[in-house]
Amino acid sequence: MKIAIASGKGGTGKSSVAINLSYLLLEDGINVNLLDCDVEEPNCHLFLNNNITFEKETAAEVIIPKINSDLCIACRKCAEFCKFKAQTVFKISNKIEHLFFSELCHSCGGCFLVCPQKAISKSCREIGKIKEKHVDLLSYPLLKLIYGELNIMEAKSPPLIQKVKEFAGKISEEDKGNREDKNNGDGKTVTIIDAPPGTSCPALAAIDGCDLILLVTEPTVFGVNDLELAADMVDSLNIPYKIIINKSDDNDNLVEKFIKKKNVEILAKIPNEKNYAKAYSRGEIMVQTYPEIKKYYQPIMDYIKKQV
Amino acid sequence: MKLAISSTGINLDSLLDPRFGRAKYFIIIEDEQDESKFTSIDNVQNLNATEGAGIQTATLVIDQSVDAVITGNCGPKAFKLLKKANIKVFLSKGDISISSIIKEFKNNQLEEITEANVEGHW
Repeated sequence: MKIAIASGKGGTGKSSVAINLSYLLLEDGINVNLLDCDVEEPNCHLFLNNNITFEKETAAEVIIPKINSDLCIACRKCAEFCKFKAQTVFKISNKIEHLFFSELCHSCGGCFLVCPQKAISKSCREIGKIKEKHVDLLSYPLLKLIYGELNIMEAKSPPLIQKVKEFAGKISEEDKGNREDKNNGDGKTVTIIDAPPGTSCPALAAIDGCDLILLVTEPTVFGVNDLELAADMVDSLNIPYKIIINKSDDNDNLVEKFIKKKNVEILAKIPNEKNYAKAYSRGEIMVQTYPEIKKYYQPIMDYIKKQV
Repeated sequence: MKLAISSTGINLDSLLDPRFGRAKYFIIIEDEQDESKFTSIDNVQNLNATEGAGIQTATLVIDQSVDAVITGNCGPKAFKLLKKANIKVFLSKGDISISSIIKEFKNNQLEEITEANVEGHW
């Protein structure tokens, strides 16, 4: 099962929920693959720095075109096809020149196909890193943290988010095979995706293909405004979603008013408590420091366990 | 020198269009000494482009085999292309007619830029 933790507004508690939920699932004997898809500023690893048993870094690359100038006849079919104008071809005193703007290329592969001379071959460009860490939090089962780090100056994060998800998908498949081999097929796995905030392409790339979305909000005017936008985004993908109110307090009615309009369920409320925030600021897993928090997560746990 | 000047209209009385990529028209002058020989190019296609207006407009200007461009602002991608094609870029400012710009150019009053004068925008 794939569960994305998303929100319209930043700072509502996505990473907090993702980490604490991962911990509680592990405690209940479920394997967890935690994907930090906020590749512009990943932070889940800050809470999982101890007991790392395995670490691997892989370069994330996208495909870009490479033109063989000897074959090019300057027909400009590639430049005309490119929606983002990444490819330019022109003649200066009868010499054919190319200028490629790699930051505009969306790796669609169209230029390879339209070139009548087959002058364009595939080349690669690194856009970031994918990091895999195995964290031995509770001996067995294992937490696998997979996250992306976008290179500085890169303008687009969705390609890296998609690569992180593909990478994690391969790991899940391998694990499935391994468990069958060892005749240990009862180990269930849940994938938790910590999505970037907002409702634009990065958030969509992170939540696409998930089975459930948990929208984390806070009971503020700003929080509810962005919750509405996030709910519209999720509706457009037809993925079921539930609401979690983090920093819950006397203003929860702000969220409840919205819920009535949308006919969607508030799955959990996590109280606004200074000590919890302090534990989070120290990089601690809150439910480990304050076990009483578990009861607030119980409805989420019950709901997930019914599905896996 | 063959010039391309970004313009809001199609004749020499028209005012300069301060934008390069999204200029309405370009006035092409075969030789700055004889401004009567000019043509205009409609750039509406790039004016309305969703993305890559600077790149496409630069390609259009390069195809005209001009020696220099006069405009109000030039972004990094367009400048990179113009530089690769050995086309000089001069800046002019304000509400000024194309014929006045040509005079200023002849009097060496225009500033030639060696890098983009504005940031790229997405």
